[in-house]
Amino acid sequence: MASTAQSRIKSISYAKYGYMFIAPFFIVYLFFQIWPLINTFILSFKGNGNAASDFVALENYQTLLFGTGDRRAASLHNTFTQSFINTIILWVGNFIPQIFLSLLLAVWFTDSKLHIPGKGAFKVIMYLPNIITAVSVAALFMRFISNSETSAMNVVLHNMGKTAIKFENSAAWSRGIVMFIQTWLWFGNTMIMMMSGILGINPSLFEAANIDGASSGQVLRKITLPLLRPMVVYTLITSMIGGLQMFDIPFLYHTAQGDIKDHLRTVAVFIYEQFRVGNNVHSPQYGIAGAASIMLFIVTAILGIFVFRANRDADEVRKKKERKEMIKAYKKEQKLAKMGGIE
Amino acid sequence: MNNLKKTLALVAALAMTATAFVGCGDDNTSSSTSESATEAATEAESESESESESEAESESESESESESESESVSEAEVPALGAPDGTLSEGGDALTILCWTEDDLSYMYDVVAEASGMDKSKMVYKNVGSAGGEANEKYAQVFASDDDVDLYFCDADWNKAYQNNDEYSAPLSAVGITEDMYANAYDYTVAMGKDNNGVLKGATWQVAAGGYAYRTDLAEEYLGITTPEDMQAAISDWDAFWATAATVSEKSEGATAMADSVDGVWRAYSNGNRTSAWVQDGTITADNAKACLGDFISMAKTNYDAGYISTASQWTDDWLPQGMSAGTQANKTFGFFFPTWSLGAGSQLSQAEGEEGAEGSTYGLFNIVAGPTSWFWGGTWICVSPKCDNATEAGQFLYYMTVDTTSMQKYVDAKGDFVNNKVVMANTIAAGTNSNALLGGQDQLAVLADSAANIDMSIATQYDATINTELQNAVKAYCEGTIDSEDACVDEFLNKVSEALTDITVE
Repeated sequence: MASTAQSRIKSISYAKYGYMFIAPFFIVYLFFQIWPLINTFILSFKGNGNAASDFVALENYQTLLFGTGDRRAASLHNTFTQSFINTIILWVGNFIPQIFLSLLLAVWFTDSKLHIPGKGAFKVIMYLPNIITAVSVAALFMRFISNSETSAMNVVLHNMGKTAIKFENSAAWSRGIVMFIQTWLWFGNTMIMMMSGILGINPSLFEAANIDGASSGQVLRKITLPLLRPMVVYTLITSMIGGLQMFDIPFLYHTAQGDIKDHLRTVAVFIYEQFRVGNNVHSPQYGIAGAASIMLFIVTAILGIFVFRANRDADEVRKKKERKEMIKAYKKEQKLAKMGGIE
Repeated sequence: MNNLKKTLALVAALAMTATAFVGCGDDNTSSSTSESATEAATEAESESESESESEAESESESESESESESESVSEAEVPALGAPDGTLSEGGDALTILCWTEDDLSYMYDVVAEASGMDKSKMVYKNVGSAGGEANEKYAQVFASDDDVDLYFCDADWNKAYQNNDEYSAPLSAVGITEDMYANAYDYTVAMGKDNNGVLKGATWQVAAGGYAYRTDLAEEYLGITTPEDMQAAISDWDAFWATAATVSEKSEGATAMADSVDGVWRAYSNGNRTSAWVQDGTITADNAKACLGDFISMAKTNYDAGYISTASQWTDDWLPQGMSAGTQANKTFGFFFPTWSLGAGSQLSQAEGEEGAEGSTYGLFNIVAGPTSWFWGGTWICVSPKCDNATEAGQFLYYMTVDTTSMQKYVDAKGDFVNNKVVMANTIAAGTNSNALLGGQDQLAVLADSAANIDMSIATQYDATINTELQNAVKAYCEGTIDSEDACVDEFLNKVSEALTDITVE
């Protein structure tokens, strides 16, 4: 029989203090994360403006997807479609140069044969843009190249005797500038990820390749890239999720008040404009904003799954399948053996 | 020992939860007790000031009175402040005024306290600390919370939205203010203070009449004009305005535009030449939109292409430096469309001129004329919250700031603002005491008095803020060439309006 001391020790559970300490986080998370998420779903089935509490089923989705009905529905549909196209263009246009640039730099910085001096300083300098807030970056570029006639580029043009260019009005210019800013902001971050990926590859593979006389191009194609694939997939997925929600730079890159250009409006900007309709605060369009958010979520999820599946290691998947089948077969045998032995 | 640990853990957990929720509090600055302490400290000063002021006033008053006899403006009898009708409660701690800037308020408190004998420490303000549409959003938050608000300031662009919503505004009769008190006020301010059912729900102390401020040195150089009277004759209507613009453009070899921005021309045109309300019976029809726009779009496009309207947008870094004579924007505009609130020290005109003595400064080189049309821009109305718990004090504040001749005169003498009282303005103009250094000593009140009397704002709707923004953007896009035709421009404008406004139909 256990002593009283023993039974008392048994009853002391330190786990409850643990729960106590993590409780605040979960309480806050419940209120400020989970509930708003659920509420977005609910709001997307409700009306807009003065009719915000009416249940309208799928009307908001219908408006955004097909735009049948009055001028308002058609107009919202066009703006939403255009904002989706803009988002994809802006994301693709910044991801491709970004991944090339950071891969190239990562390979150079990790190459033991190159001996680049001041690697640390380079890394810090390239990462720096990522530390500056997007608002400051946007303000910086507004002063540098924008519609304003007092922006640096237009002053240079003025001094050369040419007329000022309204950079924001041209789809090519303004999208190009936003893509450039996004690339410039994020290539340092991606480069660090790639470097950590490359450093995680077994150095003996590189040594063996060197001894066998492989060129650096061969090392890149046959060793670095294949083994770096998980890291590239990870970057692709995180960048895609971030890119589809791109908001700050496209939203801030305009000179005149409230003049967000149609070729820069991303889905996130569209959502923001709908639920916070500027001067019309007494009738916000929560329904449309909610429906657009949900659609963005669905698209992101589908694309994420697609990218993830498409980039799985084919060998790994096949092996896993084989292993599963072997286990199945083994279990079947065992069962048979138990029942009588011979088939 | 064990209990101590448990208690500690619990306290720590509670503290963490509490700090996580701290962010939910409001971030409005309000005049708290510490401020009222400093106010009390400065009161001694202001008392001595007010003494000297009252002396000076008694002099100027006796002067103006003797002159006002010869003036044609006759002072209508204004009833005394009535008692609150009892629908609002009394006896709250302090009269709280919601605002987005406290610059004017601090002096208003002095004026009201002196006239009514109210204790100044009983008047506090709550400053949301942001302007324009953003202030409007912050207001929505304050009203959603249960914070004490008795009176609040409303911008002309959105005051109709508050007045038409009984949830946010109470009739002025609830605090003892009636319409017949505004016999000396400018008519449009009363019209703008009424909701759709004709109930008076807001009153203002200022009149935001607009004019055209032009560069006197350029006028002499390009047009040979030396007096404001000749200038006004040269731009008395839009046709004359653009004809003069052609001369200016020709003489300056295309460097100087007549108008500062498309937005400025629209402000003047919209509040001066438009004769139809944008929204009628909850609809914007295509025909009505055409009637409202008149020939504005083609006028803007023609003159923009000819270089008579500057390429700058209002409220951007390009806008105001156009008034200076050096820098990349030097001499780009001949003048600006400015309302009364743009003409004081530190406001838009002083920014357009640059600091006195600085390179390219045009300090004192501007003059103001009425311009091609009588128009107004903005202005601030004071409304009563239905949750007001100081009905008597709220009534007193409104009465002494927007009705009472003596206290309003005091406000003009101190601030040089164009106040909403014809008698006070006539006296001030007759006395000739107001001179604006930014305008080379010109008295802007005298110039804009006629415009102020002619303003007609019976066609304002609560949607005008959104409509103005979308129209300005669409027309600028057309002028700059991103939209091809006038029809496409109107279409784009109506599309954007239909997206932004949920409770009206756009055909």
